[in-house]
Amino acid sequence: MEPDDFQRMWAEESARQGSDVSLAERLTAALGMARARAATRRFGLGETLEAAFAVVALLLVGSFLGDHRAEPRFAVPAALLLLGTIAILNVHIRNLIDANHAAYDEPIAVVQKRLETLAIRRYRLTQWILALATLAWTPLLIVAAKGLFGVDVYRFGAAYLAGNVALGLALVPLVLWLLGRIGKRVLDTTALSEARAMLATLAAFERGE
Amino acid sequence: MTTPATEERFRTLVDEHHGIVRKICAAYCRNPADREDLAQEIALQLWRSFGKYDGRASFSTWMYRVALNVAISFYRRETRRRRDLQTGALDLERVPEREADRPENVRRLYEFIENLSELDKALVLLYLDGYAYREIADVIGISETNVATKLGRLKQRMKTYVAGAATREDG
Repeated sequence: MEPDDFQRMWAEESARQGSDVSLAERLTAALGMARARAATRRFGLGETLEAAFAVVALLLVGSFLGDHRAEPRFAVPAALLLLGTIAILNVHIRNLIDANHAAYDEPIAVVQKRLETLAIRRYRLTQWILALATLAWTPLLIVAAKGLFGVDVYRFGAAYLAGNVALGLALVPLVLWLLGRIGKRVLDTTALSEARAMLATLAAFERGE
Repeated sequence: MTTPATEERFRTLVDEHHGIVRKICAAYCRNPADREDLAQEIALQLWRSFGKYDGRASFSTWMYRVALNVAISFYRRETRRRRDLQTGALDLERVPEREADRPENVRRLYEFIENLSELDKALVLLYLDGYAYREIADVIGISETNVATKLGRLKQRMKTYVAGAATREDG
């Protein structure tokens, strides 16, 4: 059998299966289905909620920074939190833009690369948030105590603050160790390595390997 | 804003070319329930993208592009989900009755396609449907030369596989 015979065979099989009207009906029926509409609405909902949360955090921390701009002991930790929040919001916005531009009518290599890059960015963001959360603990404590309860944490003394900073630093290796141990479940690191592998496959595919 | 005329035009075009979706669903999923889910997801994405269809490519080429993109993403997501849930793999499930009476060579051809990577599946489907290398290159997003090289290898493998399977079964 020669390769071109396969095309003939395929066309014959397509003609034989051509009477499958039920599929056509299901396809068009899908347009009116509540499930399809719900799927459209769900698109990017999680990402939008996380971005909205980051915006609220940005406003709160920004407002706190504005109120205490003349007091470096509060302004510096608030500025650090603000920078972290801006970085997180930036990733969420990029993800939202990419998700909304995930047009499936572009070439396969382009679309699949975009989707895998998006997945990798999401995993990395989660990894960074978890890894840096312990370091953010002290600035968060200073800002939250003052902003929410009017409590000046500096009054507890330098030793108290140093202890919190030390605790945050000490927790970094523990968090990294935990990420390594339970990362597969929490972060789905298998999916991360699969996304990377798919990107490598796409690159090789484009090179003609 | 979608008008009833647009929706009607879309339905007509999809009806005319629904064979493309059937072939893609058959190549990327084995069991009927998965195929139905995939067909529905393809329909949804076709509809979402239809507003941008400008008629520069034929509708079937455009439809192939959207449907293959959805199928590859669906296949990867479902494979991962099933692995996480440790349930049966996509290819261990029941073959639809309708396919049981396929001619031997067609069955072997489907077997060959089933064992290909997601991207090679796309190439072979387009080739079998008689698309020109230029069109295949546009759908996949690689050069025409690249398409020719890859298809040259795939056709050779296809020939060897189908002949080998026939010899094994006869022996």
